[in-house]
Amino acid sequence: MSEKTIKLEILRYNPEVDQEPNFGTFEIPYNEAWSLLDALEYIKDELDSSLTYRWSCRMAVCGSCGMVVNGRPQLGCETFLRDSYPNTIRVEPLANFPIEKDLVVDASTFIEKLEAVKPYIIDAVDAMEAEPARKIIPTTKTSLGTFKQTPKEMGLFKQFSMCINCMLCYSACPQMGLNPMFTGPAALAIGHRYNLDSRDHGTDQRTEVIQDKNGVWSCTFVGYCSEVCPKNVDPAAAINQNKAQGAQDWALSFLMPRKGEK
Amino acid sequence: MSRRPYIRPMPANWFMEKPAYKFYMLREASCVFNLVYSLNLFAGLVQLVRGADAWNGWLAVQSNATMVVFAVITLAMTLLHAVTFINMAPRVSPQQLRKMIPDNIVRAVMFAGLAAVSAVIVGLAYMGAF
Amino acid sequence: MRRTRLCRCTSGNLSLILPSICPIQKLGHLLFEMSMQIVNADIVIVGAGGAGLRAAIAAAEKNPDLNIALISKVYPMRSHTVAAEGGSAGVVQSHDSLEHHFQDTVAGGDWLCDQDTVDYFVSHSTEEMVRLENWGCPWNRKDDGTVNVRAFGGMKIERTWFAADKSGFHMLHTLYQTSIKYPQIKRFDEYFATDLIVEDGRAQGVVAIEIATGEPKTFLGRSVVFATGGSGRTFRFNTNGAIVTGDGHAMAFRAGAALRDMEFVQYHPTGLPGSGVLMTEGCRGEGGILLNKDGYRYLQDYGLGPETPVGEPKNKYMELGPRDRLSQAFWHEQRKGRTIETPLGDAVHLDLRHLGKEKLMERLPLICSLAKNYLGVDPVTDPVPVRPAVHYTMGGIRANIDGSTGIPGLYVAGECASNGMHGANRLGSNSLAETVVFGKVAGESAVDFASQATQSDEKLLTEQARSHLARIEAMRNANGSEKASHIRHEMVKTMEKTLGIYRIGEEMQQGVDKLAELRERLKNIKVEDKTRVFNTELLLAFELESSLTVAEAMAVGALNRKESRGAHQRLDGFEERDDENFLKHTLTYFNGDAAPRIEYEDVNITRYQPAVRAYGAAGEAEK
Repeated sequence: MSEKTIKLEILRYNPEVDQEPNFGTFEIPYNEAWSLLDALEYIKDELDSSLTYRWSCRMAVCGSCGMVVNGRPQLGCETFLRDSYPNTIRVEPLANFPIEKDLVVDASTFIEKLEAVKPYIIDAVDAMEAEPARKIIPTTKTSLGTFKQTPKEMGLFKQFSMCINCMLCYSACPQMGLNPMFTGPAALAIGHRYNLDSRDHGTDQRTEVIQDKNGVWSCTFVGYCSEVCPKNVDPAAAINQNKAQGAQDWALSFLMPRKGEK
Repeated sequence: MSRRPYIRPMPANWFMEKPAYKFYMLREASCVFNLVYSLNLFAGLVQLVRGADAWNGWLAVQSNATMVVFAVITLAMTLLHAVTFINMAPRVSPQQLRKMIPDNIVRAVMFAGLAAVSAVIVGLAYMGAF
Repeated sequence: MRRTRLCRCTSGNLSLILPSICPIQKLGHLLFEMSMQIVNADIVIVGAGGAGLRAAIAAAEKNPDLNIALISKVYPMRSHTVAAEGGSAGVVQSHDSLEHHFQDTVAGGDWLCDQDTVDYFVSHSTEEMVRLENWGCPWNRKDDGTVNVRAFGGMKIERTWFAADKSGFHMLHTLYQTSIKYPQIKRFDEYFATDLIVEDGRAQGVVAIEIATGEPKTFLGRSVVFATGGSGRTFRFNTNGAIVTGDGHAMAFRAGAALRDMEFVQYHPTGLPGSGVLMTEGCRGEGGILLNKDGYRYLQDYGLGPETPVGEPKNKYMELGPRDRLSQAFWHEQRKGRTIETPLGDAVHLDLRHLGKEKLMERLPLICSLAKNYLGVDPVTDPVPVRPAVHYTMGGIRANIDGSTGIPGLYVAGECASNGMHGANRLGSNSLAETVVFGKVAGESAVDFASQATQSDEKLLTEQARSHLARIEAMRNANGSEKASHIRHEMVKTMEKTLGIYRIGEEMQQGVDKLAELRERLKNIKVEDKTRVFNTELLLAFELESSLTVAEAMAVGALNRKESRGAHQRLDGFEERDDENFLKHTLTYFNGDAAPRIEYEDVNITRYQPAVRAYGAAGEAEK
């Protein structure tokens, strides 16, 4: 271990002791190869075993370790000490979520929002069950039993299926702070992902949530969600494509009033 | 239950927190200048209807230094608005379309359109001046 | 005593009506264990990764009237299935056959596979891949809209379904999101199970800590499924996530189930030096090559040649050999001084440059960004340094084809299970398929068992639960002098040193002794954080206890297996496979305060008799 050290300021909160969160400072050996997660593990193993944070895969795919680093929502595993050294690194829990303890936030509302957009294939059978009056042409299947879907058709939604549910976009979104009921970037992008899937026939069933005032219409296209997204999902695009679609449907409903009827 | 989730308050000046938020506020504020400028133009139209004196009075106000500065700021804000609008526009277009035409081409076409319309207006204004 | 009937949620709202805490609790922590929250379900599933989610869906579909409690210590999409990259095997091409897949798997496992299990697996994996497709999994496609498959190590014909190099990620999210459709699956996310409840000789529930509150909860059901994943975190240098600590193994083991074939630990040949982050086998399936420091494709020296042309990968040759052989080849190269020295340890080069940027972006985007982020190497322009890292535990809780274990009512699936699928070495892309094939089986078996079983007297169950709860409180109040983190550091180093790619009896004995010492020292740890809310120090202590338990089963199993087979290779006079004495599964049993007790059982060989395991040209000559 080199003799160089680096300082971390971490927002600490123990609900059983503290009235409110306060920064705690740790000075640890500097290692060029270390990610922020390695640093946190060092602190937990050697300096303060009560330090609390979520992590698992440490390869930017499980979405556990979202935190705010020097003011920017980032994955702890993709943040390296060398990017800040010799400056102090300031670590906070994700914004716009209640803090459970230290860097752990209460993610339950996110899960509720994600599940509310019906993020699964609603195939022709399910769709017809829900809307018997609607005429639905089922997606063709191959002899093997898989749906026929060309690379081009898959390309339509692929980007939006890359979301790892890390919630960085929720932390980045000021509208989320102003309106905690906002369904939020990731959940809306995942709803959009299924709407764009040629195997899916459930767009109508998702409209209520997506086009709600707490759905896409709570977004003002700040766009910071897409900037911080570690997987280039571009949730802002997903949301605003839905706004454009919603506005178009609204306008058409005046020209063709029957369109809105079942 | 010992659980006591802490909800951090959102400060009233939250938009000062990050450069991204500041830029967003600037972008959104740009339309305010356009609004005020439009109202000013509308006022000019009203004065024009009212007669030559009223119109000349309005013109005189326009040459006031404050109004010139205001016009310059409005021009800058309008450009900012146009640039940010055009940069964001391809992402709003339907995904089917977006996959067919690269974002940069859509932006280039929109910038070209903006330039063409601006040229026509400037041209008309130039001709009108004579 | 409080109880909750797990009711079918009609609102879709997650909030289960858990009772408010009984007033006695307010008397203080002393009386805390007196009160107990009970969740009554029909089936209790622990683990919400690929296997657990598939089990839950299968159970919900088989009998929609049953209530399923799905417990996981993390949110489902954090489960380590998410990190699987390469793909999932299922025969699909017309020139392929189930028999080919069967033979590849059995030979790949060095004949330690139970062949009836492998037969069941190969004949059901394709339908599971199709089902995942129907549920939305974005498998890569051909231009005609059918699913594409890629080549994988040890597989004779291309049969690995893949979603770029994020196959596990897409499978897991598809399964999680599909599971939302079933209201009878009630998830308990971030609940940490500590003990299995066995009464009347049957598994009837688990005790768990609700992590957010620190409160213990007792889950009762008429059958239990464990889908708790592997235990790669027992080793220092591994490709696994923090959560892969063998919790399910240890719970079942303590309750009397056998851990089987635990000595077979797979080293994946291509992990990034330092972090251990995985570079998928798909890299080689797409044509990536391995080079030593002289730029020489050294695999041809280890029975995998002759050298195949660059850019023309040939199944079961060279880089498409099985993982155990490739990792062993690295070890030899290192001994010969032909590996590359890097600041993060010796490595060889994984060269992908000839694939070109376009193909890398289409097929292997994740590994490109990982190599860039973690090593600063762009695979488009530079070869990636890699070295073997612990990846997978072939062994697990002993199970039959139907997922049943030695404990009636307990079913297991996925990496925690040892149903005889993988033998002494797993082939790449067989484990993702395993999670869904046997996840479904375990879920359905659990339904069948729950339908005919009656719950024991609840008094007896809660009494037992209470003794487990006392264990939780004892751990929280542990006030010894040892630091759990330091015991963990010593454990992972011991495992790395004594249970490596090649093993020596003397070293393994040192490992066994050291682990026994650590087991004793664990009794004297101090848990400094005594609070309840999100006490991860407490959870880490439990995880360490589990990992140590699993580590001992691995070490004892390895020490006693006096032969070399698959991933278990010895250098001390037992260099050869010994079918006469060791064509057998190792069974380890919990033995209180002593090292595990060992037994052996026969391998089920139906039609494919043990033969020389050869790859490359030698493999073809063998036919």
